[in-house]
Amino acid sequence: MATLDAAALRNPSSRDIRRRFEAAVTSIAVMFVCCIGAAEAAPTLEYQVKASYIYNLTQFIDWPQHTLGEEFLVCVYGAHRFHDALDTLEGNRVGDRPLTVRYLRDMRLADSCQILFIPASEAPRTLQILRAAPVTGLLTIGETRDFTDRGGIIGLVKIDDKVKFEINEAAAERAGLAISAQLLRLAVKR
Amino acid sequence: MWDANNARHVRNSDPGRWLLSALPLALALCSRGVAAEQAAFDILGTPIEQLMDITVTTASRREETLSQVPAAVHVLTAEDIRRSRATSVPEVLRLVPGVQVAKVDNNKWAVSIRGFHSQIANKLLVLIDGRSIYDPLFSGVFWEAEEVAMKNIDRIEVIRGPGGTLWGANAVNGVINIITKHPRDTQGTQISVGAGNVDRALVNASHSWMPSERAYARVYVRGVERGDGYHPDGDPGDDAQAGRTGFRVDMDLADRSRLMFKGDAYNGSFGQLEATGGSRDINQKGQSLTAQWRSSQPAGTETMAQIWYSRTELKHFALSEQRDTFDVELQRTHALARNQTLVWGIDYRISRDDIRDSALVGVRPSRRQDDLYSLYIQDSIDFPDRGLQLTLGSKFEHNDYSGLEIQPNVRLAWLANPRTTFWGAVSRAVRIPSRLESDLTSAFLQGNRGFDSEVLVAYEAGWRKEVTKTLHVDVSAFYNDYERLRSIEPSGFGNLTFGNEMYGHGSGIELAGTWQVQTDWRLSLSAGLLNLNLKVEPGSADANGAALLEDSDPQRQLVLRSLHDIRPGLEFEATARYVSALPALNVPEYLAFDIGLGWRIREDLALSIAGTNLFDGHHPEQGGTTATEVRRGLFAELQWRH
Repeated sequence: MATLDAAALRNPSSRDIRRRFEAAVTSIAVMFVCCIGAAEAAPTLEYQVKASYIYNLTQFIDWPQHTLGEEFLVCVYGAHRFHDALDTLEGNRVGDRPLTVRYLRDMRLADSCQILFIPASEAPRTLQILRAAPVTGLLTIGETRDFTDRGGIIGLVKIDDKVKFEINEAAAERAGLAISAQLLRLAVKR
Repeated sequence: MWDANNARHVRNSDPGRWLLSALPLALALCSRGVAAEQAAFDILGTPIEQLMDITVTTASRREETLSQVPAAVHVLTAEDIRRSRATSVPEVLRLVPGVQVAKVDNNKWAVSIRGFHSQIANKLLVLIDGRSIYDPLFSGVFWEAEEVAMKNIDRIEVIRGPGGTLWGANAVNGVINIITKHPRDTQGTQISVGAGNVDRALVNASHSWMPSERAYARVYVRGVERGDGYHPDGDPGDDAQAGRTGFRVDMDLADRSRLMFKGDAYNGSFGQLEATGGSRDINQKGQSLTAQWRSSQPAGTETMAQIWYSRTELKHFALSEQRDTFDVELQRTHALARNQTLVWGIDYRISRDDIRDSALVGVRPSRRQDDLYSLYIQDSIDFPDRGLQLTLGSKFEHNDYSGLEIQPNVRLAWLANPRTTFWGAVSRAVRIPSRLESDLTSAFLQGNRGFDSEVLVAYEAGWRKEVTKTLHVDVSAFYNDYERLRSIEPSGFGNLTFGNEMYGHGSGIELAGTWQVQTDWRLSLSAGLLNLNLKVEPGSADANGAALLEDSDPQRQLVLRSLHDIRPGLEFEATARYVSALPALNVPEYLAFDIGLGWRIREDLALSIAGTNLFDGHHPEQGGTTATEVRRGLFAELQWRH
């Protein structure tokens, strides 16, 4: 360490670099100060669109009656990017049930959910989450490219900066979900 | 020399001027940012057909900072790469904390992670779509040869620290995993043409289409001409011309399994300054083919099978190398019980070379075939009620130089709350001997058949935190214990050879932070501290080598970046980079400023402008007789897509 500093100080350009660095830090600090407080966390358009998809999908899919409880539960497992976008859905009706949003920490709580959203952050564990999730009556929604190929039911994927969706029909069938033909037609991949 | 230097710095470093020019910019950014309002979007009332048509380009924050991966992982997304405005992979890697990148000359780079920085850095594993590109000749990577089409890169995953268990030999201090885009994401034709003073010309054309309903294909061609770097004695002749062409086909098979098939060919001529004056060209040529098959079964099993072949040809005036590598790998993942994931795999590789001597150096034997086979197994166990995830695994690998190598690791991640993850790991990794270390012959330095693997035991810990919804921090620290490091020892008759007489430790801290100040403005910071402490065994003659290695890495690095979406279709980046001195190479510390501007002129036409090292005429980043200095650079690129 000592030898390094000595070498650096011997260099004629060293003091100038320090001065420039200080100037840069000062100007960045100015930017910070003037903008602090103006920062506000809002969900990005992408996640508003994805929240809207989740609500829309409920209108095209029939869940097996015996798997439905008093509420229609939309669950999210793991670190997600919705902020409060999903909360807008709360209280709206799916059939005659009020929609409720739950953020899960433990997959064991997924048993009563009708929809389980698995964010991109959980991609490394997708296989395990899908394995731990109940098979019947649960619509799994993911956002990675290989989600439906890996056994997930609906993947909200970004193509050309637009959010499209893919459907794994076989997985939907296993879950006992009836997907309307209209939705299937709109899917970019089945 | 001193006077010239000083004058240059006085001219460029008036802090008042910099501040004055930055202030209006800062104010402009602020007023823009405060005024920016998100357009109202009706979550409940927008029908699905309309949803499919909404463009959602946003300054998306890092997803991976939230992930619970128990390792120091940093992911460069396609957006990071685009907004870096870089024309080569090493230039983007400058943005990753804990990675040391230096331009050796205008077409060659030294890239290392956590120390042992050099153009022939030998402790990294670099992969392109699962295919290893490090050369067993010296266990390093010829970055200049891999002229990857930047726009086709989906992401670059950088894992700092040993990745030996899943990735294998050479993943000692890190893994750099370059993953290209699925052709579905690049549909249509894209042509870009760029020109500048440092990178003189760049042409990139790619076309993607769907040959059938379930198949996606892409072909591309790329050509680059890089100009000369700076040298006090005039143009050093380190210019380069390189071209690359390739294809990728992805197919969805009936049972939801996927097949990927890709190939490429490249050819390049890379000038290099000679110690004796003048310059010479180094030629690099290569072809590769990769086939990969992935399948998932509902029972929670995944299978990946991969075969790749590559041929590389290096024509250097000191040595010519032709190498054929064939690799076959099978990987299975099982979601066992509710809380366990088991991964195991087998890998077999044949590497065959043919090396031509020069008057200076040679290798004996001149042809050699090496086999490498390995088996790895890793289990991850979740304890969801405690938020813990334990990972245990080991790789067993056999190579023809050092025999059987065992590389185990244990990792623990603790999700303290949904916004905070702590992780720790202990792992062992080896760097197996290179062909040159074993078989080199030259007038003064001989290879050593008895040269053994270098060994690392690494202790790592990290912390990831979503401090607020807009502020993310990722910190990692490491202590690396090295044994049997390469040293140069006398072997009688005035000759030298390689030994394993060096040992020591490296330690450091790396920090990555992003702050989404506004929806349209993000600041990011990456910083690294690094310290190497090396010694030699009693009786070794290489104490000097240890001291030089200690002083060959930048001990402090800092990158500050501001990314701003001025309005839809117009984006601006400003970057400040600080790298401390490399005393052993006589390279002083430097501070560089870069700016970038992206403007979508029309739906199908975009302009990208990059200014690099703006406030500095030139500076060295790496030492050595062949090194040249980095110039102030300006590069403009026009991209058309249809």
